[in-house]
Amino acid sequence: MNEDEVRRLLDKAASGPVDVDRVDPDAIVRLGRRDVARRRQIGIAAAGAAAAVLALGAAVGIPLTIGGNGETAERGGAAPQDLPTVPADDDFLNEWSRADHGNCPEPGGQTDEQERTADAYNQVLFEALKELGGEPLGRCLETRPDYDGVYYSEEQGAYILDESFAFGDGSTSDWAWVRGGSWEAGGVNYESQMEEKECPPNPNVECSWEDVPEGRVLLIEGSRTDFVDADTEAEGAAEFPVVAAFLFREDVVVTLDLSLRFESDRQAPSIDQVVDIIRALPAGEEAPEVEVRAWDDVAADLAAAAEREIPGIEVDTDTAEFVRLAPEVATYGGPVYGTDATRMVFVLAELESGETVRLFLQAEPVEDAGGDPTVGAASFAQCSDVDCETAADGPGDASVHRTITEGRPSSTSLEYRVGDGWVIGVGVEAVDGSEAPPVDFATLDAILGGIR
Amino acid sequence: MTPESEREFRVYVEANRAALLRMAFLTCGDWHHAEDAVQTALVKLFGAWDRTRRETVDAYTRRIVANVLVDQTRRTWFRRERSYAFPPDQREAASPGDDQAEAAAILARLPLKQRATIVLRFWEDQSVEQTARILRCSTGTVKSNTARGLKTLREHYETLNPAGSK
Repeated sequence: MNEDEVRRLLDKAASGPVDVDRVDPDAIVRLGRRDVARRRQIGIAAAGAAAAVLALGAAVGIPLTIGGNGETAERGGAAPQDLPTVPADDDFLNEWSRADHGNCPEPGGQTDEQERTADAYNQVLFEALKELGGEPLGRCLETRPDYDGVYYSEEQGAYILDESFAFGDGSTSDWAWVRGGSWEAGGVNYESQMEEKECPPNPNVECSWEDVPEGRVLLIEGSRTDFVDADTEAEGAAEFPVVAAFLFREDVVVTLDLSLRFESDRQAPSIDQVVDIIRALPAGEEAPEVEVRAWDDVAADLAAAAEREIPGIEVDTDTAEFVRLAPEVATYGGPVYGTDATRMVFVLAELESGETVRLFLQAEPVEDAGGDPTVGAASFAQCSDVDCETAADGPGDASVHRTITEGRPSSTSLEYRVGDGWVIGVGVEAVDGSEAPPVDFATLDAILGGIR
Repeated sequence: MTPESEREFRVYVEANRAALLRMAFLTCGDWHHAEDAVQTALVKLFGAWDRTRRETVDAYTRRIVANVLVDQTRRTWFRRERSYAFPPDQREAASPGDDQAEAAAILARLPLKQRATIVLRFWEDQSVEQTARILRCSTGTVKSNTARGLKTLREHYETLNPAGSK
C-alpha cells in the first residue's frame, strides 16, 4: 500500500457530508468568553496570595513557538547535568504501563489476537473502574497464577479478570474483589445455566432480567457468601454485598462481578454502572493492535497534566530525558530526589512569566511495605535533610510535600501508595534561580493526580 | 479580545471547522467524539487567539485537537463510542455507502496514536518533525508509528482488495 493509496483510503473514510453546524462559532465564543472570565477571576483571587502561589494569567497561555523558526531543541537535555544517572530501563516502563499497576507475571502462550483482545478489554475495564473511583491494588495472587488485568485462560477457554480495586481517595479501606470474564457461547444456553448457578443457591441475592440492545442481561444484587481472602482462602468465608451482571450477546457471554468490602458508607458501584461496563467491552469484535507504550508517552502525560493545571506553561517534550538515579546520588552533593531504584523523567518548560523551569516525574516501586506509611513515605522521599510535610491519606497511603532550598530549589508532591505498590511524585525546580518556581503544592498534587 | 479579533476568530472557525471535523473523525472514528474534541479545541483556541501567530495557528489547532482526543479517549467509555469505533455509528450508515464504511473500518484497526500519526502525515500532510511536535513525541516514534500503521493498513486493505483491485 503506497502513500497515494493511504491518501485515497483516508479520503474515502472521510467522505460524505460533514455536519459543520454542530461546531457553532457563537457557542464557541460564548464558552471561550466564560472560560477566560473564569480564569481571570482565579487570577485575581490568587494575586494577593503568598509568593509560593502561582500567579495565573488572565488568559489561557499557549505555545507561541510551535513550528518556531524551524529550530527544534535537541532531544533530551532536561536532566541536571551534575545529577548521577544511568539510562532508564524498559523493564520499568513495562511495569509502569501495566493496567493493574502491578508486577504480576505476564501470561505466556497468548496468541497475538488474544493479547490484543485482552488489552482492549483492559483499556475499557480499568478506565471505567477509574471513572467510578476505583484504583487497582496491584496485588499478585500467591496461591494461583495471576496476571496483569484481563488475560486468556486456555484452561477455562475464556478471558478472565481477577483483580482487587480500592475505591475512594484512599482515606478508608473500601475495596472490591472484581472478577469478570468473557467466553464464546458456542450454541450453549448459558442464560439458564448462569441463572441456576448464581440465583437459587444464594438466598440473599435478587436476580432479574433486562433487555439491552446488545442482548439480555442477568442482574444480580444482594449479598453472598464469599471468601474473606479469595487468594489464600485461609480466613474462611463471610457474607459480602455483591453487584454483578451477565450479558448474553449473540454468541458471547460477558460478566463482571464485584464482591464489595466497603467499610465506609461510600456509594459503591451500582448495578447500572456494572451493566454499562460490560456493555462497553468489545466482546466478539476484532481488537486493534496493542499500542506499545514508549517513554515519549510518559513525557507526554507529564506535559499534558502540567498544561491542564498551569495555564500559560509551555512544555518542551523534545527536551525530555528518562533516567534512573545512580547509586552515587546519595553523596554527589546536590538535591537527592530518591534512591538508585528511582526512575525520573525530566522535561523543560517555560512559565507564562518567561521563567524556564524543570518539571520532573519520579517513580519507584514500593517493596516490603509495612508500618506507618508516613514514615515509609518520608524515607522514600529522602526527607532526612530537607523540609517535608507528610500526611497519612489512608490505611496504607501517605503524601509528602517536599521543599528543597539548597542547590536547585524545588517543590515536589509525592504519594506513597502501598496498595498500588508505587511511590510517585511530580516536582518543579528552578533552572537558573535561587528560589523554587511559583507553583504551589495543590497544583503539583493536581498534576500528579492527572497522571496516575 | 477586540471585536475585530473576535470576527477574525469566527471567520477562522467557519473556514476550518469542516477540515478539523474530518481530521478528528479520521483520528477517533466517531462523529460525536470528533465534534466534542473540535469544539473543546476551538474554545481553548479562543482563549489564546490574540497570542497565536497566524502562520502557526493551523498546526497549533491540530495539536490541541489531537491531544484532546487522546485525553478524551481515556474518559469516554460510558458512551460506548470507543475511539476505535467499529462499526461506525449510525450517522455514517446514511452517508455514501459501503466504500466509506469499509474505509473507516480499516482505519479503526489502528490504535489511536498510530491513527493520529497516519492522519497527520497523509491527510494533513504534516512532516515527521511537525507531527512529532503536534503529538508531543519524538521523530523516531512518529516514524515507527507510521511504519506500523502502514503495515496494518496494508494487511487489512489487501485482505479486502485482493490482487490490487480497488
